[in-house]
This record gives sequence, C-alpha cells and structure tokens, in this order.
Amino acid sequence: MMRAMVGYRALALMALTGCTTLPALPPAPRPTPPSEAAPVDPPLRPLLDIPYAEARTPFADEESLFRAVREAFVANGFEDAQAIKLAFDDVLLEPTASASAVTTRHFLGDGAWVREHMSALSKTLYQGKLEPYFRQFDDERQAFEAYHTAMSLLVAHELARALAMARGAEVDDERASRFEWAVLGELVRLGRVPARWIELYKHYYTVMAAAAPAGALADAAKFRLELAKQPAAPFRELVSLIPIDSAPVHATALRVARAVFGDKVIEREGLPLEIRVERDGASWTMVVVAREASDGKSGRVTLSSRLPDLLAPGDAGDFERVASPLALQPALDHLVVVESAARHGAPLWVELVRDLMAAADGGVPGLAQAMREQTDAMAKLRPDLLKFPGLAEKKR
Amino acid sequence: MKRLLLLLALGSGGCLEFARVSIAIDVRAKKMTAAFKSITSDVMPGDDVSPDAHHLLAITSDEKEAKGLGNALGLGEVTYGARTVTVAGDRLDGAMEVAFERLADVRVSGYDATRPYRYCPPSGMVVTGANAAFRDDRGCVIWEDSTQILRVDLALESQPRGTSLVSAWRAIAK
Repeated sequence: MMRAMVGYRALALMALTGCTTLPALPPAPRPTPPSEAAPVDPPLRPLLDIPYAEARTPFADEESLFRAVREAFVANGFEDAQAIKLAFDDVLLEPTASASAVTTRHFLGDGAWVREHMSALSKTLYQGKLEPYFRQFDDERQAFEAYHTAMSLLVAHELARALAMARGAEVDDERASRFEWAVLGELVRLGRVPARWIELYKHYYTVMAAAAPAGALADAAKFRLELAKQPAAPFRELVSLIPIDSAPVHATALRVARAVFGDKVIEREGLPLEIRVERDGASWTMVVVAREASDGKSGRVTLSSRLPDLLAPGDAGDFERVASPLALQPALDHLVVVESAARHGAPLWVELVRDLMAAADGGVPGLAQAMREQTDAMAKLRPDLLKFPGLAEKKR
Repeated sequence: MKRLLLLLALGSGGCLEFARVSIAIDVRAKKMTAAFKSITSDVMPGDDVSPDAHHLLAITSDEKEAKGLGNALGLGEVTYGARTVTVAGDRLDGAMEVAFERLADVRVSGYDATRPYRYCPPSGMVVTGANAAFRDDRGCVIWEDSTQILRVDLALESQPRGTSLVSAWRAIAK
C-alpha cells in the first residue's frame, strides 16, 4: 500500500510539473549570449559621447557613385532625377564629351581597347600631350581617387543634361560644368568624398588646359579651372540652370499667381507660366510671370529676398505684387520650397512661409531670427499679404 | 513645429510646440515611432490656448493635420498610423507612428559602404542623443550596418515658450 501510495504521489507530482517519461536527451547547449543570438542595438547615449566619424570608405563601385550623385540631386529638390537612367557604357565611351572618364579608366588599366581609345583621343584632341599626365598616376590609390573624381563629375554633368532634356530644354556645357563643380562641393559637404578631391579636380583640369589645343576643349578646361578658383556654389543655387517648368512647380506657380492676382489668371494650353530667378548682386528674386485672361497682359509675382520690395513694389509690371519680403540666403531655396509646397499639397502661402523659415533655420546663423522679425514686420505693415486662400482654411 | 506654424493660426491662437521628440526607426520593419514630450502652445501665458488644443485634437484624427506634423519632422512620403496624446502629470505628451518605403523619407541616408545609416535632424532641431556609432560635424549621426532600430533624441534649437495646454486639452478630449 505504501509503495502504491508513493507511486501515486510520484505520478501526481509528475503530472503537476508536466514531467513525463522521455528517452535520454543530449544535454542542452549553453544559452547563446544575446549578442550572438541577434544583433543588439547599441544603447542610447548623449550626442557628445558619440565619436566623430573618421575614415570613410570610397564608393564601392560605379553604381554606388551614381546613386550618390543622383541622391544629391534629389535631396536638393530635383526629384525627377530619380527617374533618369544613365547608361554607363554609353557615358564612358562617348568619344569626346566623356574623354575625362575614358582618361581615368586608362589610369586603371581597364583593358587594351580603352588605352587604344584614349591614346587616339590624346592624339586627336590633345596632340598627345596627356601622356605625361598619365604617368603621374603610377600609384593605384591616386588613380582610383582621380577616377572617382572624374566619374562623379561626369555623372553630374550627364545627369544635369538628361534632367534638362527630360524637362524639354537644353543645358549647355558651361551650365553642366557648373553642376559638376557644385556636385563635387555637395558630395564633399555630405561627407561622401574627401575634400582633397577638389585638389584633384583642379590638377586634372590644369593638365587638361595645358594639354588641349586652343579651341573648345581648352576653353572648357579653363572654364572649369576658373570655377575651381571659387568655392563650390551651393548646389541649390543651380536650380535656375535647369528649367523649372515641371508639372508640380507649374501647378504651384499657378496657385501663387491666382492667390495674388485672383481669378484673372488663367492657365493656357502651351503657354505655361514662366518662372525664373534673377540675381542682382547678393540679392535674389524669384519671379513668376502669369498672363491675364482678358487682355493677355502679363503680371508678375515676386518672391524677393529684398525687404525694400515689400514696402515699395517695383515697376516691373502692372500686376506686380511682392509676395514675400523674406531675406533668404541662398534665396534660390525659394524654388525648392515651391516644389515642396506643391508636393505636400498644403495651403500654399502658409507652406511657403513656413518652409522659408525652416530653410532659414538651417542656413546662415542669425538669419532665422532676421526672417522672423521681417515676418512680424510684414504682418503689421502689409496684413493684406497674409489674406490668401488657404490661410483662411486654417482659422478656427 | 515651434515657430514653423506661426502663420497657421494668426489671429486665432498660437502654434503648437514640443520641447523634445524621441524617434525610433526600424530599418527592417520600415516603421518609425515619434514620441513628443511636453506639447505646449507658444501663446503668451493667459492667452486663449483652446484653438491650439483643438488643433492638437485634429492632428490625432485628421491625416492632413498629421502630415503637417510629419512635415515639421522633415518626413517625406510616409503612411501615417495612430497618433495619440496623453496627459502626463502637468504636461501633454504625444506619439505618432508612420510606415515608410524609403529610408530617405524618414531622413535616413547612407554614409559609406560599411555604415549604411545616417540621420540628419530637420531644420530647427538638434540631435541630443542617439544609439549611433558616430556623429559628423554637421550634427548628423551614423550607425553601423548591424543596428536595426535607429534611436534619436531631438530637441528644438530655441527654447519653446511652453504655455500649458493641459486644461484646454482636458476640456475638449473628454
């Protein structure tokens, strides 16, 4: 009886604990430490405890470089660059415009056919004077750097052209060269390429300018050298070099014009609003030209960086109204802002001013405060300027 | 937000502000959460804050208003999920969830071949903390490839005025 009771109790205990009779199992492995089981995200810590980034890995390949250049375009408001397809082989082998890339491929020893091609180019375009330059690049690292520099510039050049063509316009070599230089500056600013690449750029075109016979090639090289004497222009300043008559900008511009001029503004087939940026010394002005329905006269909406314009509108046209007195440097952010407002579909004027202020916040120290003061001044001096459709929708 | 919304409410209230926001970006699940700390109004103390409380309520229910909040965080094309506001003692906190397809839409870009994530703060905000491996001289923070959830604490560059919305919120959010 006792044995039976023990057995019963043991069975009951086994049932309670879920035990059962199992064949012998191998011992369980030691628990895996969490760091090996799965990636463990690092802990949150104050910014100042986080070290500065040091060495940067160069672009892994042409595609990553191309992506970086394209991202620079997109990040600066050229969203349609995302859809541009560039065929690298076409870019690289196009005989004259892409001489730079072919040259740099030569440094890499990228096949006898490239060397032959480059040799022919050197003879025909540079009278054989590039050979001493080739020999400077015995060091593989230097060759890679030169290659990446030239490639990034080439891609920027070609991307700018392709973007302009997609927008139904042409960009000449000089404008495309400005893009090259600005893209290099942008990539340096973004930390995607080391600043010393600018020196490579200067060296490259110094040699090219010296080697090229008088004519277009020499002029192009000299032009790039002149560019290189200046700090790279903020990328966004080059917005005006590519026509900005894309559909969202056009729609936004139409809303700007209607907000200022009222329903007199019409959108005509084949007669898009004209948007352009004018520069006068340090002052920038964005102008939207609309046409009035009844008599076809043109009127202008001006987004100006000059405060005096607010108080004393200029004499540029019958309908000229100053829509913004906000000082903004670089004021070409206006255009990006307009595109942004169109994308977000928000009440235009509110979005414009809000984005302008945000842009200033990220810009020159002290500018944001100056803009706020000017906005306050605007609200007092020209309250009518704030009475746009859209703002009313926000009132509660 | 801070003064960015100044003109949204001219003559009818002030702007919503928040002192700090903590964001967590899950790079694999492609989701982001933002936790807003101490939501206030920038009107002068004693002025009517009820319009701002109503605006806050609208943010929780209206995607268009939520998009405005997303714009303040510099978000691109994202899908807005739940937005909540909670009373935490004498302050209002909030939370927002978004889903995204492209990291760029939540301000994450690549840094280099081995460090694929970099977050740069939107205008008017600064990074005060992160679970990042590096930072750069522009105030952006950088992660290694192994990190799945990018955590960033942000604060406004300028001090918010901080007029409390708690009473007004309680009155409308019953």
